[in-house]
Amino acid sequence: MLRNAVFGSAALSTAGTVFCGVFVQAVPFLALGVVVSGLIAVFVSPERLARWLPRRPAVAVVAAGVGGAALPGCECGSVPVARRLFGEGGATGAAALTFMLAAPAINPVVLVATAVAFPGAPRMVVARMGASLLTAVIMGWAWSRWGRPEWITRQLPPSGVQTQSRWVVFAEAARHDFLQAASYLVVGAAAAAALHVVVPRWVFEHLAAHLILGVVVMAALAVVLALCSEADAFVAASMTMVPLLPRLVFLVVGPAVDVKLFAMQAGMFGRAFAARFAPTTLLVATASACAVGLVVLGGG
Amino acid sequence: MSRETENIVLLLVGISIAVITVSGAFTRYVKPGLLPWLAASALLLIALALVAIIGDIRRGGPRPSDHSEAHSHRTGIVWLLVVPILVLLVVAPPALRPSAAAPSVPAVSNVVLNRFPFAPLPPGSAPEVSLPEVLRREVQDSTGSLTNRSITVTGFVLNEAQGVDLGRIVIYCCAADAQLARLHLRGPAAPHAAGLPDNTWLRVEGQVKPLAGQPNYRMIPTLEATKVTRIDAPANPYDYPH
Repeated sequence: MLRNAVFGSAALSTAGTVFCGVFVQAVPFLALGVVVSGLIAVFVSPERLARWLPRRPAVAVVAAGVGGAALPGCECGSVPVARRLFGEGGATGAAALTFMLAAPAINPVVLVATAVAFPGAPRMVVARMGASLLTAVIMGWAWSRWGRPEWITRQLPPSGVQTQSRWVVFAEAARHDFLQAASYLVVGAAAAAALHVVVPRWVFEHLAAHLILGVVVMAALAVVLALCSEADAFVAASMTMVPLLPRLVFLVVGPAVDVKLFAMQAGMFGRAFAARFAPTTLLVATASACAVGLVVLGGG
Repeated sequence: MSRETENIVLLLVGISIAVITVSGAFTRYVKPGLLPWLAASALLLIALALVAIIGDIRRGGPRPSDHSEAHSHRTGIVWLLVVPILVLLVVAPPALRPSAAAPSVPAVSNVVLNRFPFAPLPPGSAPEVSLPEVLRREVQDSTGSLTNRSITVTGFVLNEAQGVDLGRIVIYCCAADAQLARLHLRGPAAPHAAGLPDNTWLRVEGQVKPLAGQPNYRMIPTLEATKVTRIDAPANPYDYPH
């Protein structure tokens, strides 16, 4: 019966297919993410992480941003990893958030995809990397200046490192992180699927052609569509009626904040955190993309 | 949700991913290149669930720390994972149907970022060229490889007010980034396609009519069809650019 209802309605079957697309496509990246976060639970205690990072918090944030290039994948995997690195907050909290924002945007896989999607505009790759890194670093600094630990209402379960074997600690951490992150991924994928069907494309195609309006529309579109950061460059490249600057905004905002990331952040960190962090990230990412875009792309 | 139920849900998520991977249904939702990663993810999830279940049985019950109040009151969210299990295993949504979903699938654009020489077409009287590649060659190929050359193109029927179009859906990563590539079908064999319902798959032989004027993103090339053959829907419903 459920099956017939979905197959009978064009909107429902499109929404169902998009939901499956977002969810299935995220699963391998989430799996990679929880393997990394399980390894962090075993091998990287907060004390050890603090010892690796530069002493000064401002420098530690920059190091975490550049370190984001080392996790190839898209944004779904970096949320659980960042939650593990975040730990109890403290010294490594800001660096963990910077890593979460930088990793999906500036890793080599995403940059190569961007270069392939924009064969005539190599400056797009430079601008994307610069603006995304800038966003991540600014958000890390902002967290260390204004962030409040009481916003983090979701705590990780206590890991009995002393009493259990490493293997059990790894399996328990990976299991917990997958269940949490994937549950919220369901919310995000459903939201993306619904918006795909409800928001007509022509709205964006007509509004986005204007430069200023285009920046606003493309930022909103990045949040709504919740595309994988490895695919968004191709979609941006296809929106040829839109000037380059708004398309850069689309590429910088998308991996940092969208409906599925918001749901996952609310699940892993807490609603009070996500309700402040996501809108701020949206503003900072849009502003960074505009600033870097004006310098690198010359407003084109 | 109790720890035992969580383990079952985790196991079922792993099994659903395994089922769509083995059956090939995953190509309706994501690109085929994800196959090894999906298989590895399914194995990982099933292994994590089994390790937890077997470990709990050996210990004679769930780990005591999971019964603490701080952790148990928010695990209800895990019930949401029942949704993808049901959707993937029971509903199994079909591949995107662009004619039914036209507003949500934008047209593939063929902007001229820069023109460069493409590799020559394969030899033969009417070599197979994918529909999106026809669009790319038409506007970006500086060698004009499609000029006065018969080609074979596969796609599905899209009935429009002005006539029949041949369409193909392109996905880069997953169904959320789908785009529609299309050609107008005209010429002597086009009437054979005119009476067919939307989504009928065709193999069409013909020549692309050169675009008049400066190519831009709104232009849709026209294929002068000389031969139209009905075919079964291909195993991979989408076209993947790389």
